[in-house]
Amino acid sequence: MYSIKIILHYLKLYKKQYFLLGIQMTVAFALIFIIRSSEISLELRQADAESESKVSFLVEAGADTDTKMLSELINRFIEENAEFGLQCIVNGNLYIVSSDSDISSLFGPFRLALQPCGEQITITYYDSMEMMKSMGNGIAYFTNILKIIMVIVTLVAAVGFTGYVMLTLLQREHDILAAYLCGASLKKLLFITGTELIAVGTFSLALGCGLGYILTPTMSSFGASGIGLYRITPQPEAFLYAFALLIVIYAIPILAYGVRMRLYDPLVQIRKEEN
Amino acid sequence: MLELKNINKSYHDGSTDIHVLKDLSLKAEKGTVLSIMGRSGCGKSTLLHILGGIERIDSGSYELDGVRIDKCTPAELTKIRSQKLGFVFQSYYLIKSLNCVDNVEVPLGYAGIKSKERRERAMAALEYVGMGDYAERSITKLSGGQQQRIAIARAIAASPSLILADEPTGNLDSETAETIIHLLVKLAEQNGITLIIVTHDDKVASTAHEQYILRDGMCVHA
Repeated sequence: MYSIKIILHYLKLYKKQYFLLGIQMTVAFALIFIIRSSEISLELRQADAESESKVSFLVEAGADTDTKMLSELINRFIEENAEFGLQCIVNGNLYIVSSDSDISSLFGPFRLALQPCGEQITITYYDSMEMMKSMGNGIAYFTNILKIIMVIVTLVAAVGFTGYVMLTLLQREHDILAAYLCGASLKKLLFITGTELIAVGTFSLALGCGLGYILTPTMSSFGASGIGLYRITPQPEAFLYAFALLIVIYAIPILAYGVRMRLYDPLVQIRKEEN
Repeated sequence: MLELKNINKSYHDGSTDIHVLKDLSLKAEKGTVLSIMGRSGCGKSTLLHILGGIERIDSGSYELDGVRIDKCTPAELTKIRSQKLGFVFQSYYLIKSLNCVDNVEVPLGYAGIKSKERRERAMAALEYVGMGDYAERSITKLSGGQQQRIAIARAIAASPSLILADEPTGNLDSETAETIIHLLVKLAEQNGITLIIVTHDDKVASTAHEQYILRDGMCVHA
């Protein structure tokens, strides 16, 4: 229990340094959460689209188009290719010809069949999968930019963390000696500082992931909005990546701190202070 | 009771061995005040560090209250430091970010004493050294003499059987030094604590019950 009192004391004493460190780490964790959530969402949405991949032909009639003739030509084409199970949905001046089977090879013959309507009509080949991919490009592009920012923030956090740990040791050499002379073991003193760092890291991880959870849906605005297929949602798996990042940021400083504490010699410190 | 028997301690300096302590023997009963004097570099501090379990001996034996300190593991030494030893140094070694009472609580905390009892014992120790009114005061706002009183309160808070004082008055003016040294001697006598003072100051040394000089690695009566 006394160790907790001391841990809280030092957290309060170095609150400014811990605050700045916490902000860096929170940003890094929020970014990785958003990036991974976006990537996973993109993969999931595209996998969904792939499983339901559908080719359709869109025919848009112009103002002067003979719609009766157009309807007859489309119906005739559907009858001639009955084995494909083609269907036509009419929505205003838009004719959508689709099928549950692969009709990509029919696009050429379909254009030929509608030639009598002249240039009054626009015929478009629509592949739901390709469309999904192109719509997701915006999100993927922005995710890549975020990745670069995240790498920079992570590097700064890791370097800052290592620097902070070393600074902490320098600042605390006197306190460590005082505690050692009062009966604290070096292991316990290592545990106290380590716990402070872990507390800051864990708090930042929780805050960063929370922030990431709130901000992740905003990534949808970089894709095709409104069609509902490109909803970017927070993914629980992204938390694991944030946790892995925490380990990466921590690994070097904690190791460096452990080694430094093992090399700590109270006698050397006493001589340094007494002189 | 404290007993050192034929202890030896050497340092390696490049290719030369410096034999700091040679077959040194010393004995002190509870409540005794010992002073050790000697020229700079004669091994006074080394002896004090050995007594405090900070440094190991090469040979011989060191017994404190029936425990062979020289045979203790680092973990056992840590426990002994928190329960049986108190240190008073020239540089005080107080934690500047803690207030007076929290500083006195440090050895009690590491000894595993619960919060309420810790506070009571720390306050009693502060009262004993005449610093009761300064309990919540920041260390940095105290004079050298006051800081040394806090260091003494911290040394006695865990009811040790041995207090080691290394130049305890080194940073103090003569008047404060006299007050501090009398305080240390009084608390040793009243509480049955063995007090070992390492000093350069004849006046400080003269307040001890037994005075020694460390010469050629051995302790001789002054």
